[in-house]
Amino acid sequence: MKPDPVRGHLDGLLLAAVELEPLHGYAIITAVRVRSGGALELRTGTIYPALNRLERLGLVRSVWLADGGRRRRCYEITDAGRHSLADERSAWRTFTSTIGAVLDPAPSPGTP
Amino acid sequence: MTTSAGPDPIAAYTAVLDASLHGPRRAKERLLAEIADGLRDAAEPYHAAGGELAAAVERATDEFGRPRDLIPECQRELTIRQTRATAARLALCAAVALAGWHTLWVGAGGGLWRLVAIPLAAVTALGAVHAGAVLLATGRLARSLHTPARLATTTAWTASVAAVTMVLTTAVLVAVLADAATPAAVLLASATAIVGHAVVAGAARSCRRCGQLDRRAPDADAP
Repeated sequence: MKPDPVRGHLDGLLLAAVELEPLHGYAIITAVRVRSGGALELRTGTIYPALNRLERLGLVRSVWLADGGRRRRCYEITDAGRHSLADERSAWRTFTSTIGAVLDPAPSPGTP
Repeated sequence: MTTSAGPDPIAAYTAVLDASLHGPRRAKERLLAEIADGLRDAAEPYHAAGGELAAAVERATDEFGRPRDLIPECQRELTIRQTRATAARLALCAAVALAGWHTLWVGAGGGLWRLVAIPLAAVTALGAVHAGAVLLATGRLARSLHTPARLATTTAWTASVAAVTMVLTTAVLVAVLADAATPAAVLLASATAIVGHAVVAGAARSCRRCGQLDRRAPDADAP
């Protein structure tokens, strides 16, 4: 998937990646890549300013954690971030079901 | 740090970003450190497979993005951080200055000086109100509010004007009320105005620079 459509959902992707546990930047990139089966093309360096923005908005908070002998800045989701992620998921499901109904309509009962 | 092939390619990468980006020192250092860590992680598999570090970083950069790909997003965030830092300094210095002026003119009676000092003080107070609004709008409220593209420039000019009115108001008050006020109050108000001017004007210059860089940042999608 090309970067432009992905960029519009970057916040949701990052929040989903840290939903279960705090992760550092590159681990977030890896989590997004693994979950997408490698299908998402993203200039991975751009997630760092995005994480800083999410922190400013109070959707994630950063904590220092040890990882492989190195202390790394990791990001964990906040309550506000969970609400935002739930909204993003809801909007995405509505969007995909609406577009899906148009692109791939179910056959009506009278259709041969 | 150098490699057998020359200077550390990750340091060279972040040096390009460092030279291109402007913003609060700590925020910028933190962002660059995270990017360097991320690029090191991205290059590690290629380097571990036996490639030179420079070649590994070059391959990793294809997916990580080149500095020009990262500059627009990084500068945008640093510009908002600088705008917030400028607003915070303006709000604090204006509040201290207003309190200082109050101690000077309380009980000073009427006079033509009020026609000059009160409008100047009002401009400083309006600057503080603008600063408060900026802090609110670029913080958690930014989840639901659009951040105006020229907010940094507007805040920079507001801070510059307030920095000047801080000094002018104090100069007027000290000139007119020096005999009526205690020397300590005069000294305190003067020192507050000078320090406040330096702090706010310096932050305003950085904020204006950030606003200019944000508008000039290269389009990452340009060929």
